[in-house]
Amino acid sequence: MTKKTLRRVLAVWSASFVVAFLVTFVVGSVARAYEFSPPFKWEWDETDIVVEDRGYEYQSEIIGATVDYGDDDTDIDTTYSTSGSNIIHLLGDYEGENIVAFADPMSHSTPCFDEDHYLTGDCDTSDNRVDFAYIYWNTGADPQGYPDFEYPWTSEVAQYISRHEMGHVFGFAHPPPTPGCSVQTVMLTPEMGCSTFYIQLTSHDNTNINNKY
Amino acid sequence: MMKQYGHRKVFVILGSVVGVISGLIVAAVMLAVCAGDQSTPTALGERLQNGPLSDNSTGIKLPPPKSIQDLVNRADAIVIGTVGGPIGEGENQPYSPELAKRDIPQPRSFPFIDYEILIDEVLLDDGLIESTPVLRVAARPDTGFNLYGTMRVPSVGGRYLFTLRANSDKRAYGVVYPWSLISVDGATVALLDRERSAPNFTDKIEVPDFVEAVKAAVLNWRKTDWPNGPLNFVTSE
Repeated sequence: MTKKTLRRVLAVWSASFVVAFLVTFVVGSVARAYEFSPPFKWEWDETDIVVEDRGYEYQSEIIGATVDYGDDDTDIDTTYSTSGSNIIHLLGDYEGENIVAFADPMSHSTPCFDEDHYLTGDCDTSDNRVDFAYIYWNTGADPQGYPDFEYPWTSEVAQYISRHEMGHVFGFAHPPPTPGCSVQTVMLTPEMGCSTFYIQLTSHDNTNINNKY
Repeated sequence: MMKQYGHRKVFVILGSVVGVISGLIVAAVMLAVCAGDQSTPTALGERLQNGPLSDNSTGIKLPPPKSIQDLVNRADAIVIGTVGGPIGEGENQPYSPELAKRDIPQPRSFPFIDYEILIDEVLLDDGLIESTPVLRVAARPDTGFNLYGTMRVPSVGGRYLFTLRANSDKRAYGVVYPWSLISVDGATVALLDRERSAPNFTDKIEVPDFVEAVKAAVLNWRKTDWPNGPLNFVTSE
């Protein structure tokens, strides 16, 4: 092989490497599901997951989120009820917490997260799947410069909160700083610095749900 | 001649195939490494030692202030003072009496500790702080950390610059993030903890300079727009 040919081969190799790397990394980063580590999932995805509202103020938004998760675009079934529920939304004044809302999934009555919201490792994708969850909405959240997140929330914000927290219950985490806000998902948070929030499940969300369930 | 061109073509094709494959492999490895870096359970002792470093939260949290002006704009009242002893403890619970009758896990309660603030100087007065100098921290007394692992509970006797927001009942002021309670005990200011997304405008700044900067920002309190809005809530991509 001549030097000229070698140079040409190297140039072609480098260009192909860079293109393949960038395309795979960017597409892979944006399209992938972000799960907790170790991951966990819901126990019975093929039967109705019953969602209940015990907060009483955002019922239509919680019904909307339940329909969104249970529609034909996803492989899980969710239904809204006033009793006998698996996922219960609660409204409360937790005072000076800057956390607007948070999910508390459990497996066999054992929480997946401790009080600091750190994973306990007690939930997984096999014997210890999630079978119950509370979702806490904090009316006392301090908006810290984000008036949109001050209670009472608009219907749009409530639609975002309900879908976001239910996503956690089904095992999905916030995207990491990279690729951050460019991921089109209901799992974005203001803490990431995002200014656009999705209030309906996106095709990214539906794909990830169907890959997981 | 034909043969030589044929060889070149083969080399070029081979080079591009190998380039694509190696690019795919390296990207896949990097994606796997990033995936493993997400959120790992951390023992409480380790967290108390190092603070929370990764976000495995299920909470919708708000980001740190971007500047001293942003910090000041977020506060209702700002004081310099000392943390007095705990003056009370309590628990917040969601109002759900119906759930108590059911055979299901019961909702969590959320404990808090009230501390007295011994005020030395009021930098921003909301008309309430001097009559209600109570700092409410969501925490259990035994962990040393607030409930959400974002900051240490304040040291009794420690001197701080408090950037405070009144709780909805107006009987206490809440803090949850390290930038709400900035230590001014030493020569330079210090946050109670270094969170993953902590602000950097407090880095290595001497206490007198920081206090002067806060006082200057108070003069422009909320005269500027919030730096974070408006937010967009959209239905689809």
